[in-house]
Amino acid sequence: MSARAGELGGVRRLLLALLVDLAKDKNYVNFTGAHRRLHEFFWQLKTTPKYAPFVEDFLFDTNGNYPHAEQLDELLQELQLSGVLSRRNPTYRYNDIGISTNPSADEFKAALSSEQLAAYNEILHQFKETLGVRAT
Amino acid sequence: MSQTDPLQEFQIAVDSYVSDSLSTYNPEKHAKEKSIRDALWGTSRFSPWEVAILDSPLLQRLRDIRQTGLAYLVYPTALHNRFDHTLGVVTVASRIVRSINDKHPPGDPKIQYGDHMRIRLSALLHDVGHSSLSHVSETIYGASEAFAGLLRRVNENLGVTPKPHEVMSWLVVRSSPFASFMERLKSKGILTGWDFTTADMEAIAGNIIGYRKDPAQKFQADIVNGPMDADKLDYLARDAYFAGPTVVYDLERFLHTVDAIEYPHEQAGGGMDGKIVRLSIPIQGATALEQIIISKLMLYSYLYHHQKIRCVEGMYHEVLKRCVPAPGQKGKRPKGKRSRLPFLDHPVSFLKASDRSFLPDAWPPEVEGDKVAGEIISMLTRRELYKRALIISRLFISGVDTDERVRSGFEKLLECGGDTSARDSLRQAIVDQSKKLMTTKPFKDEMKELRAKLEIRHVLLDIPGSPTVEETDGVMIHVGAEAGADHHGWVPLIDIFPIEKWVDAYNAIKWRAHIFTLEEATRFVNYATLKVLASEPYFLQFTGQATDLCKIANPIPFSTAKPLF
Repeated sequence: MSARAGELGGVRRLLLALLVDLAKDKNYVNFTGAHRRLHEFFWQLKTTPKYAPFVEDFLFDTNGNYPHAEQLDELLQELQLSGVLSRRNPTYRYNDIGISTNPSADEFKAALSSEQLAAYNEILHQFKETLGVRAT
Repeated sequence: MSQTDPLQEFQIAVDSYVSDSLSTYNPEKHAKEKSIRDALWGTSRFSPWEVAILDSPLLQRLRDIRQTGLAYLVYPTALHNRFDHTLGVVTVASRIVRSINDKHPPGDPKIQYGDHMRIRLSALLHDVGHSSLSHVSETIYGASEAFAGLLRRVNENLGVTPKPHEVMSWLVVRSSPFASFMERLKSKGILTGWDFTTADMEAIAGNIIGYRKDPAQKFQADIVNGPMDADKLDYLARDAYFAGPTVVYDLERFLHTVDAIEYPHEQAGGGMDGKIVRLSIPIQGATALEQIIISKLMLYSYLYHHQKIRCVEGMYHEVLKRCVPAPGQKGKRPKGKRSRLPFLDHPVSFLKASDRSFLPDAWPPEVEGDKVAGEIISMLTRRELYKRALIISRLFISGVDTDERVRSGFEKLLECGGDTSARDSLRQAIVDQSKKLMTTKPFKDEMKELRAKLEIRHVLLDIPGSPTVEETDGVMIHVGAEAGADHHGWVPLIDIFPIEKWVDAYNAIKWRAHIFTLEEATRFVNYATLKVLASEPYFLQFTGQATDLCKIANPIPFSTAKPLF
């Protein structure tokens, strides 16, 4: 059984921080809802030593069609349920972000060392580039 | 200091359990196969070697583990057990095997007889790792630090993410005493007719956790543990049948279309030039699969997330928590908790427990030893259940669609679902506020007794997770050449049946969390919860329905503008 999303304190706060920072960037309107791309992005982090500590609680099943972390699905569903994320009819292709600030995200970033903050900023850059949808 | 490998540590403990379980069992040879009737699938045949395993204590224990835990307190006929389900899974697994072979030339079956038997053996053993009331106890031992270490190690080694009871079953099947037992069946002439060797045990165990080293054999694991496995096909039908709600899916159509298909696999990492063979269906069978997924969502609503079932499970958790070491108290029974109940000092100890380990068999139920556990067990046995003090639904939270602060607060509350310490802090805050309310003028004298009695264990905060729909990314659908070269003729089910939309809708409309408490405390706990959740960091205000639907007698009106205290 995967850990319930609530047990994923670190990675939950990482995701909230990424969402808040993406929402603040006027160059982006939302990010992809493509299941595979989302899982592959976090798998990439998990397999990169510099970024792995940020997502160490995610356990990926690598025996399927693509690396898949059930906890990521649960986390995204919870964020959707709370309204932090939403998907619009009729395509549901993109995740809109419903917050521009979040105390947990602030706490997460404040607790990072300068080295960790640099790694976080690289992750944020990749998150935007890989999954973000640019404003046209 | 040397660190023990969690896998090794667990395997040693499980070896000892299997050895003890089988030490007094002397399998007998049945002259011929046995026919067993099942309410769901009719009559099925089991070979002498299967009967010998079914008769062993490892399997017989499953007769005393109810499939749907305490759901029978809500659906009185949901009394089916893991043993019944096991027989069903073997039957359905064989039907899948035969359906696949029917699609291949008779002289060249896709699944050879020996592999068919290995799949049946995996199905037979797939639930031997379950414990008392099935998933109810799984959430307790599965949440332990020791078990988390084991899951991480299994994930590192094999790249799978099985559920705790599946890992337990896997450990049982790959144990040395079980391999010796199988050898014994062979030497006694009970296990005959196929090419079994103990070298097969890793593959047989692997099927249970959905793992096969060889990508060409992955579909065999899929039959036992995969996105559309025999386990799911049986439990959906069985749980619905015995609980009572009418939930149907078209098994015949599914079997008519299911096949073992080779397709390109980017992650295979060698073997078959990056190809993998998995259970799959063509586009013509997709509707049958959609029905299965919808059935699962329906059962979440009817059964798995039913508020009363969640309530009794929450009450039972309070009992189980008193039978395991407190966090940081390895190997020690929590202080002051003397009891006739078993003390399960390690997750593997759960393998020795069944339903009657915790529930009394006498009537009226005797309460002895641990007073707290006794009180809860007595209540459960008499079906005196906690009542709802508040319903938490997206539909009943004001401003969730418009106010950012509310969304962040709701997200914070949902985080408590998986975070035990955050959840307990919130429960304690609700208890404290309830007691404070009881000291205010209109209630002070009248509520003295209840104020003294109310403790954190009387206030349950149940936040269920979203339904899991692993089928969508795990199943590839053959859509044919017209789909274009990009997909090589294959697409994941999610591309043609976006189940996430259904789950979104389920979460928006059907998903509910609850506060449960003693009936006499509901009005106070309702008020206290509204007060606590209206404050930082939640900032949640609820519509009247959140209270009204709880049917609380004489609720105390709550207003943030004019709080009572």
